[in-house]
Amino acid sequence: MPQELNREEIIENLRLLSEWLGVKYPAEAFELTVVGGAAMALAGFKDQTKDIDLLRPARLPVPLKDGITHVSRAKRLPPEWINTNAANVLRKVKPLKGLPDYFSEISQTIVISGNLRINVIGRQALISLKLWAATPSHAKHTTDIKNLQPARQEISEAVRFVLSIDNSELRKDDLRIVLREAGFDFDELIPPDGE
Amino acid sequence: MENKANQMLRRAWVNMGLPFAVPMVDEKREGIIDVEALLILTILLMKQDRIVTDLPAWIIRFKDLINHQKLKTMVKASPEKYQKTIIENLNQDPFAATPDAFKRIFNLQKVLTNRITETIEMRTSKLNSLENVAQSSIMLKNRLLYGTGFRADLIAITHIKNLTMNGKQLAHLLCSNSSTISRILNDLRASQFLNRDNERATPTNPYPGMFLSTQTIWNMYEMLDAEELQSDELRKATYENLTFKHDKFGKQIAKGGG
Repeated sequence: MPQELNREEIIENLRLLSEWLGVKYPAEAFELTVVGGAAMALAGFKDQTKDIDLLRPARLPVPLKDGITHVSRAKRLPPEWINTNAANVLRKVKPLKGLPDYFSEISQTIVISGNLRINVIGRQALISLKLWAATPSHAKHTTDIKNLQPARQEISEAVRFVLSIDNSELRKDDLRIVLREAGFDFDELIPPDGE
Repeated sequence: MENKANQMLRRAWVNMGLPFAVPMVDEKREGIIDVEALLILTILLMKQDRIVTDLPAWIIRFKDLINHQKLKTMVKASPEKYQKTIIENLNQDPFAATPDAFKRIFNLQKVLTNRITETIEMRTSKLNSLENVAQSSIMLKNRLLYGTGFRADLIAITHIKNLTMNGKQLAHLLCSNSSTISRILNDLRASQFLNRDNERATPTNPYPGMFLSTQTIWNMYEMLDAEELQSDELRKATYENLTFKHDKFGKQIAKGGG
């Protein structure tokens, strides 16, 4: 089972990545936009996460790929300790240009060094993605949503986002259960006529 | 590390005919020296010493035995930062005397002066004879026999005991493309010089491997990068990831680095 990383460990591993990139590609700088559990850990909403999910870049350039592999060897981390799985899945279900504007918002930027900046995705996108990932059988995301303490307006927007990808009855049933867990009523947020 | 590497490079240059007071590499015991890999490594690690005048003298004398295509491919395959180092190191007056074919690879613009010509001519007179060099470098000997190209180099490395490499691996080792190597391998098998396993059909006095090859260049880039890393973990991971199968030179350098 992959080891869980806390905020300090995430930062330390990113510092190693930036050091490696600085030696190998001294003229280049990199910017990563983090989503998911790592974004929550970096923003202080969660203690640990097992990997760093990126929204941008959607495809890793060779220097980053090689650097990630090298740091994984050095720190005995899984090869995909930084990955673009979230970006890949989003690309499949919804083209990035079709994402709501708030997916471009950044809640904070962490400058690891001159050649590596980490952007933590904005709060609304974080909540929307967490709600999309959450199903009753995958309770860790529900816990994450509760930790984010979303406002009614934020969770309503997240529900609209999830339904824009999948508005099947099955998904709505899942949302009802997950939202109840998080203290919201699906049918109150989204009236039956979809208004 | 760079000093140790330069000392070892001098030994390899004695094989090629440069007059350094160090013992040459015994290729039969230590492995074959790839000429272009030796050139690239020497230029990469070159300091302000005698090699700056001896190397242009050697390049002029042995210009017909240099595989310029291979040299160009090696440079292009190098990381950008090391391409810059190589070109900066060549940007010294004596290299203005080198032949155009060599200068074109590196886009050298220096202008030749009489003083440089005199210095280089003086150094050229100190080089060992072609006959002697042919005895101490199997790769140069084969180029004299079969022409300066990948065929000669491929025949040279088929002297290696238990080589067991496919066409793609051989192409990588020789910095050539797979189709060229595949075509030459077909010729050598058709002439029954090689068997179906790409081994010599008739027994030969084998060499133990490569002393210095393309792999040595890639390993050296990695080791030089490792020197710049502050983190012990990153440095250790670099050394653990090196492969020395065709690089006895790098293996000796790495002993003191990892």
